[in-house]
Amino acid sequence: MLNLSCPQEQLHVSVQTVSHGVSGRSTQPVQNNIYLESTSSGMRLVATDLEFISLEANIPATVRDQGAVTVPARLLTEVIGSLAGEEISLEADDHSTLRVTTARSSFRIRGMSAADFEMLPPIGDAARLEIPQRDMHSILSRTVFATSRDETRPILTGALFKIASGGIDVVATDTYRLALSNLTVDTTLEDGRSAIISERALNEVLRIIAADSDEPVGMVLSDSQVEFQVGAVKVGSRLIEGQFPNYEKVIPDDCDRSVTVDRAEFTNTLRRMLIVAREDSNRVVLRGSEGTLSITADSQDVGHAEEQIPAKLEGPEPEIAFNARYLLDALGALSHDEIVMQLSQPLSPGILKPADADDYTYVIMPMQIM
Amino acid sequence: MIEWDPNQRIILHVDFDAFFASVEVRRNPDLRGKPIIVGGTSNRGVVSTASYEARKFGVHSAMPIWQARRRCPHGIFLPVDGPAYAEYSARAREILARFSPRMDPASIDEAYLDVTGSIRLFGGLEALLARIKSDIREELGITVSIGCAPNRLVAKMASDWDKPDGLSIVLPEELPERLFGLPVGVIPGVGGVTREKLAQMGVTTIGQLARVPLTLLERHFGKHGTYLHRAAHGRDDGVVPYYEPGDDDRKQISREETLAQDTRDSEVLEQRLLALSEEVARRLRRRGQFARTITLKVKLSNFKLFTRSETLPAPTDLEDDIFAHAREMLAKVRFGAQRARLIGVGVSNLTDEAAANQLSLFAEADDRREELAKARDEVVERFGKGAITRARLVHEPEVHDEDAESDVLDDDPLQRL
Repeated sequence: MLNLSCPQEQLHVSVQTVSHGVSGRSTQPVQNNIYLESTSSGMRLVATDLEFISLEANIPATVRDQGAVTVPARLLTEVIGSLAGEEISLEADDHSTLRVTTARSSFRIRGMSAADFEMLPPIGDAARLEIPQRDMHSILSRTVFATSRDETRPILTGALFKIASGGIDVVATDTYRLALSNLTVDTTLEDGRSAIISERALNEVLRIIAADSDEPVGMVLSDSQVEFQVGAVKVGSRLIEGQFPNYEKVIPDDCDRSVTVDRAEFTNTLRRMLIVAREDSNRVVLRGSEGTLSITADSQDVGHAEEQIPAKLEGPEPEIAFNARYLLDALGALSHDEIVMQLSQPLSPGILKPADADDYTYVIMPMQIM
Repeated sequence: MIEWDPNQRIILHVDFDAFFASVEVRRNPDLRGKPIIVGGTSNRGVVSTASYEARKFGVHSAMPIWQARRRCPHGIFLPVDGPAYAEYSARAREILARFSPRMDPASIDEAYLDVTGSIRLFGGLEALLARIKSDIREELGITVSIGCAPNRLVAKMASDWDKPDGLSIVLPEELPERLFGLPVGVIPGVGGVTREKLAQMGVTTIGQLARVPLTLLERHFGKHGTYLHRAAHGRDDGVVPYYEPGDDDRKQISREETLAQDTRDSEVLEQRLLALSEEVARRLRRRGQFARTITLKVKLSNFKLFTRSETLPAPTDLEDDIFAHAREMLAKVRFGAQRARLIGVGVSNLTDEAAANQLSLFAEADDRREELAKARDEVVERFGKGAITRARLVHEPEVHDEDAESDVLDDDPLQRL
């Protein structure tokens, strides 16, 4: 029977982290619970939708007896969160009730038998690599936002990881824009590997890794599953099966004009234009001429907005309309001072990338100019 | 038995007689035979509808109420009960839709029907016309006047010749001469100004109008002149579109269904949602429109209504898109202890072209989806809805509600006896 105690703070963080693995949509009620287990060395917490997300945390604890129980995730999070600063004792009985006690308080939470709780199968024969958290953060934060929400095309709800011996490409697209980030790193993998990983799992990884940490993220990849290891937390998922679209084909190579602008300035301008543009599908029209990029938004119902910012133009003068949100998504994911847009005809795809780096390509389809 | 030229369409204009007043009489039989004026009880409004009894006193629609009171002091003045009239109108449409899939509810108190393909089903034109009148009279307690002609325009004029409870038939071969004796004012869209202008040209009857050269009419009236010329010759190419409930205006299309049994089983709900999404998408494609906003409607067992809308980055006419978003919204419905008793999906924010639109990186794939959908539509048009369907819709999934069994018993009519 589970019986242990541990400090509130660490338990609270783990419960919060793991509870994201609960989908709330499962047909089996027990899968809406968090699985708690006392092991010889401490405590293990697991939550999973058995499909695209599995979260597991291991924390040290003073174990008095070994066993497992499952309790509703939200309730547990709330109870543990309310007991700030105290040593917490957890004790399950044979009716799957969990007693949560501190020196002053006592809760009894009705749970369900751990025997019915299912988990993803252990990840089998697998390739393994390690990447610093800051690098993983960079490649994910620049791509995952471009995944599709359209569940009828499941492949696009994930990002493609293409891993070769010399580096990793991550690609995501919702068919309106495509984000491609490369990381040059020695993966120690001799054979290349590809996997489509669910946005849900990747967003969880993004949530728990730090943008400025040199600590490693472990990535374990089998034919059907992936597992990310960040300290004492594991994020697992089944891979999405299927053929990712041929993304290389849609990256234009015939752009004959370019616009270089200050990223922060362009971002602020687009945010202002969006006040009007959001009434018309977020459409903004960009026109370049004599060292200036003019950005306009028009809405029949609302009115008109217009702004000019200095720009470095090369080639013929560009004129093209984009969804401002798609531009802002990419601008927000970058930290470079200057970005460059490589464009051609008004109805042909454009590229947005950092002006002084080659590790990121954002392809964006235009909108019709009205 | 009327012999209709098989190369000509048979179009009906069904006009509900003194509609608002008739509904009031139906709801309160004591009003029968009395002069009823619907339009408000204060003196500031205008008459919406006057019963035929009130018309005898010179009361007509659009007349100020104070004037109607002066002409018909003992009239019964009633306020406008919009929802009640809409309800009767919807029921009348349901009845009319039995007689032809091509039905256009032009306004709250009139509709066009193209019955070319259905007269044989009803044993001939006369039988069909009699049946329309008797069905509406028996089920709704109101009368209609019908104009029957080879096109919408003449049918509309003809329904006015014999009111109330009338029937006027204009055979194809009677056109255009049948119209020639009528004053130009009976042509829909010819009001005081046009009538005045025509009178100055010495034209007061349709016959005279028909003899005015087209070029002259166009010089005086522009585009309207073309219409006048065609109208005078009894010509009109307007078609009666297919009618389906749920799209009474051009701004939205929706389909909903009450489930055979309350459930929260996502298998069942998603299957129904897919079927409804297909119907909505097919309707969009038939109208050549694209939708940007998708709305999910779920009515729970306790009749609480849940609706949620989402707006897409690019408009669509494909069931895949409509279903995908409706399903996402369905996943967010908080059922609590309730189950769903009705589910519906609708689209709005319609555009006539996908062009207002965000282009796609993988346009070829989208084009293929579009082609596939259109090919399916053709099969459905020709062979009916059952001819082609998705594998997912072939079998009704079993209901997995925990207490589904007791539900079945509750709903079993035998149990209630």
